[in-house]
Amino acid sequence: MPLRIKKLTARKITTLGLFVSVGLVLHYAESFVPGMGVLPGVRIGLANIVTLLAFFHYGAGFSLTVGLLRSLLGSLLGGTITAFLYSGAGTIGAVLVMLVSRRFFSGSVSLIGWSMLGAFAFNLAQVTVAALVLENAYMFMYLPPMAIFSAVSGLCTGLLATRISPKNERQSF
Amino acid sequence: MKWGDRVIFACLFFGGILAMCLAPLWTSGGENAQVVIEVDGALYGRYSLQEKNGKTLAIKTKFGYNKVVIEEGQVSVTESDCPDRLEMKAGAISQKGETLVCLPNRLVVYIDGGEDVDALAY
Repeated sequence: MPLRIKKLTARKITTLGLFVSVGLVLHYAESFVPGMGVLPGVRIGLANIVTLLAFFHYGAGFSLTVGLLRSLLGSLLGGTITAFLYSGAGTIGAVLVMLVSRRFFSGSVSLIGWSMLGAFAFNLAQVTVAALVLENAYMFMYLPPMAIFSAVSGLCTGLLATRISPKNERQSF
Repeated sequence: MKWGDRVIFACLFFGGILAMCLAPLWTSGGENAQVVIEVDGALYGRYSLQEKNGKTLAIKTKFGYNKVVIEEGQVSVTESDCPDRLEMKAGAISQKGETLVCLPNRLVVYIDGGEDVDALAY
């Protein structure tokens, strides 16, 4: 599966911009829902629909760019850089996991499954970064509730993304 | 929705529930329980959870300010300049393994078994 780092066409940039803006709007909208009272950056994951769609239709590289840009800008808009450390790590982990699950488990797992795994990987990465930064292994106690949460939010995001996707998987620029 | 999706959901969802039910097995309040406060990964202080008249700690570091209160076998954060106030919303903790965290202030408050004082330097 080729990585699409070819020419930066105007169309690519525009599509990227569209995805990131929609992602940002969703990111902002979901920030009004009270968090889990755990770590910053733990949220409903509505904005991940955008990252998922990007992954499904345009590939892992594009999805990673969309996700990281959205995390960065979202954090800056929220006023802190700390959040980016965690959501950035989460995005990278999530895209990697989704890439692996698409590569090896396409037969038995659909976008919905990738989404749940991605959501869990996202939270796992956040918790790991927190444990490293704070040098405290008790951070991993947050994993069980996060597993439950990511199962549900991953399921919803995956279902939504599948619903609003056109039938053919790969778009191209 | 393929069969693998259902497996993943079941594992994550029920695995999480199972883990949460099992957690009390390796945590305990107990008389030896100590409150450990760390800032930026370094130990700030260890205090007994059962402090007679309670204890109030105003922790002011270069990262920010948090006020930790130990009272009647529970710890909570009553004042904080943390942007999202998560460590305050979490309420009071009293079990080993429970934590109060403010990431921007690099503050972690947690409860430990507290056996050897020699375990302090890490």
